[in-house]
Amino acid sequence: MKTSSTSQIRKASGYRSLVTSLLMTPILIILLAPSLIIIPMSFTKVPFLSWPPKGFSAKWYARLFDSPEWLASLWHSVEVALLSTIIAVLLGVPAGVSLALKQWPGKQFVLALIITPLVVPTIVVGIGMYKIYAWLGLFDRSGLVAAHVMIGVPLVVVTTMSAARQVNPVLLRAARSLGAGPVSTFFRVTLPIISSGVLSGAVFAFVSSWDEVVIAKFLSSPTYETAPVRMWAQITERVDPTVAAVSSILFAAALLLMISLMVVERVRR
Amino acid sequence: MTTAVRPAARSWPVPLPDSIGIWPLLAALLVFFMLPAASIISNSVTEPENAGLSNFRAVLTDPTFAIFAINTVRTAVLVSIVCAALGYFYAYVMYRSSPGVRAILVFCALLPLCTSLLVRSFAWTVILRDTGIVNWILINTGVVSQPVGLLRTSFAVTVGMAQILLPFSIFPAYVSMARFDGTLLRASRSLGAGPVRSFLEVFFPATRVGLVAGTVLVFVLSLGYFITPVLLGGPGDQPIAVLIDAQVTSLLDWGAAGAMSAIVTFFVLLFLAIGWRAVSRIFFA
Repeated sequence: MKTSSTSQIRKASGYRSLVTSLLMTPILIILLAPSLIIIPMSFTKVPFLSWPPKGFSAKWYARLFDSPEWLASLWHSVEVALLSTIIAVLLGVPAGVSLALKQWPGKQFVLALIITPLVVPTIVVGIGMYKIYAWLGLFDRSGLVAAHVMIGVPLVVVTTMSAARQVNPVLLRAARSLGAGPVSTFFRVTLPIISSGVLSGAVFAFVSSWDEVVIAKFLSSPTYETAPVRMWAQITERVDPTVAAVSSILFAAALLLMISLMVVERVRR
Repeated sequence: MTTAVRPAARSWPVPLPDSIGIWPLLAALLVFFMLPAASIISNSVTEPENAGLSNFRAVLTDPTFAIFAINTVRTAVLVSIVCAALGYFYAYVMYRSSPGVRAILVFCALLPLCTSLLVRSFAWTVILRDTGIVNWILINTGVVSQPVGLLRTSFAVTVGMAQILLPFSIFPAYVSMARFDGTLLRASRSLGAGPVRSFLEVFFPATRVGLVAGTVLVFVLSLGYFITPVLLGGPGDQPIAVLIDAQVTSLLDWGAAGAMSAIVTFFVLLFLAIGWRAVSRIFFA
């Protein structure tokens, strides 16, 4: 009696895990396929993208690194992403700390305001910035950096906030009562505790700038394009495997960054 | 009193307000985000001069706008339903898995976020085209003899956008499940409820907030999508974002672009406001 009921339970959970894997497999394929398919396609020998890729050749990468335009666009992407990440951290960390640890009225409203750049359609933000930034005298690099700070900073604020929630207020009061001013308390107590949250916010901000194309399309000029903007122009005109090669590089860079973030987190723990 | 024993702190001469940390960001937001957004929206009533509400009247009675608006809403609803169902299920599997499997599932859900939206949409064009991998499989397994037209369809747009937005419904759902008190399920089972009833009457109501937060995010974000519909959709799948782009880049009609932007932004903020309680409970609590 007892054994039959356990075997029934085992059978039932066996069916359940079978159904689960049957349902999960297509979801996982859909999630992963687009990221992984591009890499084999970028090593094809033929000048068009069809499956299966024919032969093995790195010539599209060679072509990429021979092209001053592609190299310049990759460099511009790095430049814009780095600068906008630094500024997003400088603006976002104090804001996140203040939202999480300090008491003042209207927090929900301010929080909603900070999040809006992430939800307002990028096309609306893009054409608005196109108009106003020209008027403010922000072009090319300065314009792109300002725009990407706006989309990166909400991510820094959110990750900083969740890290700052872990800070025990008693520590802050202790620091103050031992004679540290607010600035020194921030740098010597708060910041070391929240640094991993700040780091992940910075990585998210970097990746969001590195990827961004709709706003960048409006703010870049032929002399200052980022890699995604150049890719977009290529994709909408004619497609050759060079685009797959750039995609693979963009993917590898972002993946490397995410993995190093995970490793750093693990080492710290 | 504690203040009496505190040594003289090296402090600012004037006491700083507690909200000081927020001001630099708010100033930057005002100039570099709010001003551009407000300017494009105000174009709806200022371009051409003394336009009043004429742009809104023109846009709202324009059959082209109606078609693009329907496309936008249809895609957003489809994508939200797909993401809600798959995301909640994925999160539930994560919740029930051992820590090792869970780590793999987290990685699989995060990996797409490393790949840019543009790259992923482009990858779908490679997968779904007539000479792509799906048709290659279908032809080689003898399911079809001629390639099936998958690219430039609503199906392609839905799959492409759902793939991109799925993490936004997985993580909120998972957050709400991780906060769920597992002993409640045991209590409900011991009080005689079966597994299905326990799930429907105990687990689901407690984790619905994550489902709502994720779905609101997916819906709101998909209202503004531009890249994916352009690359994967046919003429009948193009959203308002494409129409706005055309107003600015080829028709130079800033008034119409402003009116359309105002309409889309209004609905985005409206739906975000409706779902804000759920969103803030998941992300900021």
